[in-house]
Amino acid sequence: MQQEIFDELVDSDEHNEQREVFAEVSLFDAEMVGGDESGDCACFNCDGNPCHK
Amino acid sequence: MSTRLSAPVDVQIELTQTCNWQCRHCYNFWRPAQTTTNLSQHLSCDNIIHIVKELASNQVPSITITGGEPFSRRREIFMLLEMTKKAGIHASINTNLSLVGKEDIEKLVDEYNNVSILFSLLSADAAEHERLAGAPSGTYTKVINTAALIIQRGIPVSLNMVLMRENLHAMEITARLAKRLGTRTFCATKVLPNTHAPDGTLLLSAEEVHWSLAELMRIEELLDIPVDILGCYPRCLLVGTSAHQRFSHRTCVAGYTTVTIGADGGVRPCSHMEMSYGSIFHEPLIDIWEKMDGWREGEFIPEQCRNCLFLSACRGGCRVNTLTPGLHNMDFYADPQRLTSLPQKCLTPRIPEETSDIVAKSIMCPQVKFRKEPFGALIYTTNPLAIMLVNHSTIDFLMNVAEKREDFDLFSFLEQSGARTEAERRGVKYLYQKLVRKGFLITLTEHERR
Repeated sequence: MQQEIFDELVDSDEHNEQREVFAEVSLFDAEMVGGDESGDCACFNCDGNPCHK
Repeated sequence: MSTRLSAPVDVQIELTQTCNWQCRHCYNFWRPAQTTTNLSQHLSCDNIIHIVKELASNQVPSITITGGEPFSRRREIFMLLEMTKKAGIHASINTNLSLVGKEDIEKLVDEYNNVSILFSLLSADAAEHERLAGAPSGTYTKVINTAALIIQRGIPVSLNMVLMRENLHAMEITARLAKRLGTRTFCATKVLPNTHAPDGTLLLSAEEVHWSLAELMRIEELLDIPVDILGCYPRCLLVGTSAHQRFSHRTCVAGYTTVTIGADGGVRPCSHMEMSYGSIFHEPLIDIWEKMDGWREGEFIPEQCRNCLFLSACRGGCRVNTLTPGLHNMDFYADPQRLTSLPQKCLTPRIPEETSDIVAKSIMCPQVKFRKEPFGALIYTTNPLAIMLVNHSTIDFLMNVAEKREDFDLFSFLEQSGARTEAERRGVKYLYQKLVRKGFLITLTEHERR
């Protein structure tokens, strides 16, 4: 029984891997709890000027 | 705990340690207190060639030229611009503008019109600006005239006002000046602790930060000017306020997407800090980058933040605020207790907005470049600068259509995407729209026009 569950999990992992859905990858965790879930990475909206004097 | 990049996305290059101003808030660690720096340390032309080769071989999309004051090394700054232009790397410049002459502007316009500029102005009140910047009388007028001239010539310029207690009152008048000049963005950025005030005497209080962010949003609406902050705050300070929605795109990216190369060749995770992980003149950039793994793995995340609900998006706030001795090893503005008193609705994820369909057929913009990453790829253009991270299946599809110069629409993108559930389809639609918005996908009409 244990082996069957394990095989099923492996199968399902492989299956999931085969059908990786198109997606943007977030630099940090995509789940911006309570924030603006724009999906934009934290660093890429900054006019190329991430820092200041 | 998060996505790891194979190399930086933006590299700050400190062309020189020399500066003609004495800003009281300046974070340059080498700057002796109360003096104008006139140190000889700067990057030579040979150094610049070496650095740009390293950046190009690691497909770094952009650099920020900084210092000191980079225009104090005229020959070297234009050489760096030339080298990066040839290497297809986007360049922006952080400058005080006081040393930029008309011939420099002409050269920028004629030869480097893809560059963008961020200049510092501490107040629209001339006397106040010159006092806070430790700049000679008359500097303010010169800076404003230069900014106006550059903007008139079509180079994108943003204004950054570093906020201290002494100039908080001048936010609106300074934003009005930015609007009159036609700057792309008005940035109002909190001062950070530095070697001259390590105990945080220059820092704004939490109440002043809340006020300044609310004021910035008020200014945005009042003057219809894009605003931003060039720093980050811990989520526990902002959550539950409208500023959280507006400014949560900022997280500490030191050693994560950016590094700084000093005038001595030292590679540092953060411009504000002296901590170096090696010299680019003695080691490949990628080896030094790997030594900074701790910055990406959360080595410096404060202990008290590790169980926080917001950790993955917040990462404990700003490292400068965390690592500066005397600031109790937490971001100065962290307030974890505040989270316990907030209503549940502030702590639950927002549902992404519904997206609308795009019917026109698209093609990959021919200027798009790909950098392979362990998770998929970084896709980018450098003119204009645009960057996104996507997973393996997306990049396989995009590279394939780019190679074949094949057009496709949202429907076929969805069909190829592997999306089955409604949530997956919504995510793919959003991805497609973002690829369009960032200019990676263009319509056939747009393609023919180019």
